Amino acid sequence: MVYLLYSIVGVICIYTARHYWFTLNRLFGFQRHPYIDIDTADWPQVTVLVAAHNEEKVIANILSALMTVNYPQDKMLVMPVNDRSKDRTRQIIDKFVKDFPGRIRPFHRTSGKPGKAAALKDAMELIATEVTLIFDADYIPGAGLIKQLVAPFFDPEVGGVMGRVVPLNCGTNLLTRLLDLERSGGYQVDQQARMNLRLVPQHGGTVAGVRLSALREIGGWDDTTLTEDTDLTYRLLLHGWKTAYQNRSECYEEVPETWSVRIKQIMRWAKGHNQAMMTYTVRLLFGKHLATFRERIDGALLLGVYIMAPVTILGWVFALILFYRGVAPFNGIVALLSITTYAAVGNFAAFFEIAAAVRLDGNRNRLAVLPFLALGFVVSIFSVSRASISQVYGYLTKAELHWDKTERFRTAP
Amino acid sequence: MAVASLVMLTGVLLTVPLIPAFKEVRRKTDAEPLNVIQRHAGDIRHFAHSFAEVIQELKPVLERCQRSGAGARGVLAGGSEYLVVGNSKNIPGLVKQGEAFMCSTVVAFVAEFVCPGSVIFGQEIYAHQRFTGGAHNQYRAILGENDVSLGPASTILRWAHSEKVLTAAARCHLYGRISAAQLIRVEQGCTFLRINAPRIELGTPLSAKESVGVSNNAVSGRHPGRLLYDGDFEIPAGEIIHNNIVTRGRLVIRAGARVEGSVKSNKDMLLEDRVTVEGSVISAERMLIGRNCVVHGPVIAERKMVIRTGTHCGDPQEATTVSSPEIEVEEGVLIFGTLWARQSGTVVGRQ
Repeated sequence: MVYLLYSIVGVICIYTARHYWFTLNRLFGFQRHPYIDIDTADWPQVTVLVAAHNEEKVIANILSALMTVNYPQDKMLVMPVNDRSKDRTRQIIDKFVKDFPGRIRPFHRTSGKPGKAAALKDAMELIATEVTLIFDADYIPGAGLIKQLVAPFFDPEVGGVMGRVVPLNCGTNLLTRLLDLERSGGYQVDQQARMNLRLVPQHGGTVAGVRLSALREIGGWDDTTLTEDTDLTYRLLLHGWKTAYQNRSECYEEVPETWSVRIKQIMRWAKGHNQAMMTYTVRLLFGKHLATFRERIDGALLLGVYIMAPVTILGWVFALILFYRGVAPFNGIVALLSITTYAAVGNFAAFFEIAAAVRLDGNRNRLAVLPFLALGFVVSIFSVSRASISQVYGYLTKAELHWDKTERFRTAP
Repeated sequence: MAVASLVMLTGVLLTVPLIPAFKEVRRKTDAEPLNVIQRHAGDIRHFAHSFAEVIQELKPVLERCQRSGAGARGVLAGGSEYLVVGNSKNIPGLVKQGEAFMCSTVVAFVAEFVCPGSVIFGQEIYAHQRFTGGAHNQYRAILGENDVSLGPASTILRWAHSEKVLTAAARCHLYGRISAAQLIRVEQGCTFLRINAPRIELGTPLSAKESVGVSNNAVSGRHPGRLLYDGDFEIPAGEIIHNNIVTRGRLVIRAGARVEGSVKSNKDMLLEDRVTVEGSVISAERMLIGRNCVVHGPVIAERKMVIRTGTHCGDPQEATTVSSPEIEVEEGVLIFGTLWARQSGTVVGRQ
């Protein structure tokens, strides 16, 4: 048990070092934004998919925003993917189709497998453009965002693109403020550092894009996964395609405003991520493919971020048992665990990353809320652990993974 | 008692660091979403358009001065003083400052104007007709409705925009955003950061070997397959490649080769003379583009880029972007679209 504990502490230390490395890189290292200056080009035809399942509260906002972006109108087609909605989503979309003739081509999906991946898979059958952008319905793209997300596709090595997500409703309550800080750390530091260091920026499945030929090469969307974005990241990587992260391509999103919704969301992410971990870790580390050595290591660590939650709890349990059994002088280990667990989980965003991110964003006072992240951390670690345990149980009982849509909080127009 | 005190003390010690957190949660002094929309207003003409709106306010005064040939003075709504120069050949009220003369108001020229040298314009300039600057002038910003010519060794600090042709004579320093609706010509010895125009001529005018009629294959059009090399790669001289090329190492394209797709190298890239690339050219390190090359798509080098004379990037129908932190361009290079050096750009003589 002592050696198991040592192993756990060892792994946590690796994650801690990784977070420090990322943060220092963001603060002092060379920053890569290779595509952000492409403001003039022969812009390609692009299809913008808007994934929508019962989105009457938010769908009008994103469609309005997309109708005002500065991408050439004749080269952009918006395709709302209305996935079996039972509310007014269809009517709202159809009104936009009428108001903006030729610019919106709706895909009203009335049957088929539930879930975003399955809906995107069906929608992709209708698309012929080499570049496809994907937004969830609660996002609000700015005027320049489409060009910024398309620009990386001029690089023939780029198969996927990911922009930065910025909470719009961050001031609503303590939870939204904590999520705002987490997002800040996750994107401003973590994702950008991975871009800088040529590691594995993660495709987020929204405020994102994919190259059609790359998608076809890797076999299209996998509708058996809960997090199609993580799955896509790794399949692109294994086939020698890069995912480019565009930190300055920012887009507003709505974050959960209640803890129950947040817990549901993070549990779904954890399950999907763990699913990808099971599928890709061994292949990524030891397989014969086109990922570089550093991509293999970072990719494997990225796959393990959610499983670190139950592993950390296991470390605590081991530490307590061993302590009360009087084994070994491991007070130091307990202390080390307490400190480093903060860095190891929490949806990628360790608190020092967050502090650096908030500084880079030019904000000041919101940093005062940082101590409350301990609360978010506790909720996350137990929710993710619960998700992992239920996943193992589901695997043993061969239960099918269930996709939960995140509830919206905006008022319907 | 001692235990209770200890518990209380511990409680206080744990709570004290949280006081700022509780205060911030209650007061919400910094709870607004990150302002991301304005950051996207990266339009090179953004400041020129904003200043044009300010000038609209002066329209009646400018029209009156244009008719009468007289000058005028006043204060703009924003509080800045302005000076309208009519048919005069001089700028009234210049203040001698060392070797130079200082003009600290917004200046509007309603007639064609040839500006003397060694003048420092502390505020924006509006030129309704052709504006010709003297040597060693320093401008904060210029908006020209007609041609704008900068004299030798002049400096633009913030931005300059011409609705027609903007010319920078030798050894000018062009900081900030420089744009023109028709043409920008930048002579040898000039430094630049961000330039945008349908046509950008670096150095003396070219003998017009302009590339036309080849479609840009960067992303649009047909989609050539991708060849990926896990190391260095070299395309032999005169070879025609129908694919996109991606190398994890260096990429060398020998003289006269033609790539009907895009190329990317994760290390240095060399395009020898007379290479044609129909798509984009992207290097994660340094890039050297030889003489008389033609590239249709975006040209990006993440560290440094050198472009030799006679090379054309983009074409009149399909403009493009050439970007790198550090750019060195020889005289005789022609770019259609945007030339963007984040840290430093220089026009050098032919080698």
